[in-house]
Amino acid sequence: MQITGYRCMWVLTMFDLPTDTKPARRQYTQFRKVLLKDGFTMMQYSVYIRHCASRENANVHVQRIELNIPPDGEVRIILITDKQFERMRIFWGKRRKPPEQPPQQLELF
Amino acid sequence: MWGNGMIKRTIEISQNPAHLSVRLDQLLIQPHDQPVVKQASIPCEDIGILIVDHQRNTYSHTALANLAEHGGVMVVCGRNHMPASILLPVADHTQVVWRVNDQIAISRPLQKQLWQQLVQAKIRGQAANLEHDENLQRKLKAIARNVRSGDAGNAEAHAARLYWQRWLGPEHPFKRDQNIKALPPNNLLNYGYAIMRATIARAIVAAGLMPMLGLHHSNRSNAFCLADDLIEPFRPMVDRRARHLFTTDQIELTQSTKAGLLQLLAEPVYLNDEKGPLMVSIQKMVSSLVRCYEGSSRSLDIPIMPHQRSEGG
Repeated sequence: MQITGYRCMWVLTMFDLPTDTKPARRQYTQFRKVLLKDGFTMMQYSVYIRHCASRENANVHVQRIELNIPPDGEVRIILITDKQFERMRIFWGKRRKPPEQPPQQLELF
Repeated sequence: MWGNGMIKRTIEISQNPAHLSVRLDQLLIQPHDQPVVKQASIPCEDIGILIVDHQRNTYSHTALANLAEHGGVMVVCGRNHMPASILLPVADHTQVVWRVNDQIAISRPLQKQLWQQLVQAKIRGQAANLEHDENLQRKLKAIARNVRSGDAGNAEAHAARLYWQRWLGPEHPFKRDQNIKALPPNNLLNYGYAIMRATIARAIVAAGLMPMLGLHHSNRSNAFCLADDLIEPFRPMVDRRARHLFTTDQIELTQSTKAGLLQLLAEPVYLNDEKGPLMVSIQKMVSSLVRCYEGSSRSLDIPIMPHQRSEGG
């Protein structure tokens, strides 16, 4: 059950970090850990996503990432609405797959 | 609409027994009877209320602690799916101002006025549930208008007696029963009220208030006096949803019926003429209560159901 009318957002964090030296790999691991602890999941290597219930909430997470940017490499952050996200086309080899479902407000196990 | 930054997720576990643990601040739900690759992962900070209702569930210490540290409430259900305990986080001292002194210092007249407002809102909500009985609806609205400070005349009990008699319509005689073994639809009401109470208790603690210091309820062995006061305007909302489930044959507390009650937390309500989710309206009501304790206000912001708006509340 979606909270219709409320603007759910996806935060996409994409990064390109060097992994040629040991310190560089440590930075990479630490940044990745920051993302995972903040509730991001890996969509592809170097592309992480997090679903947020509102734009305000999404901005909270964007600010957190910005506080933890590693010293080398490039990080890109973009916000995408649910509507835009569900239009993502995913190709797996030759087969198409649907994009991840946004989590529901109420989840039953 | 108001800022929705505070919408949290509701997680209910009753169908498949699972082990709950935490890794990197994510709550992991690993069903006992399924391979590890099938575990669900939910950010602890996104969880508002976690309801656990399966005998074979297991929990790691970190799961309980991490959820609490992020302000989440855990409701543990016992027999008959009835909430048996509510695990409330202790608000982080550095983040929240404790307002105990303000709570204790509240004047008796203000306490009575606030209780009057809560009772009025409750009775108006009950009236709004009686669309099938216009006479009684008018009567309840009149009772609401005449509630005195502190509800000295006990309008609440008077209205309740009339309301429960006709609430389900003339063909369904009804008697309210709070027992955990209560038959439908009382079981639905008890469950719905308990969830609402837990959600309100969470908002109370998050605002730095003590849930055991009530405005009207003041039983020394009740740790939730204030929650029991603030829940009153929300009871008719639970009633309405419970009635809908009961009359559409969802009378036992299956997961799907419980979901019907849990979804209430995200239902739209109106507060000061603006629409927003119910759980956020609870937070706003508690904020208005804080302003009353601080002395900058003498009235509570109390939400109403959408259809109450068109008929002038």
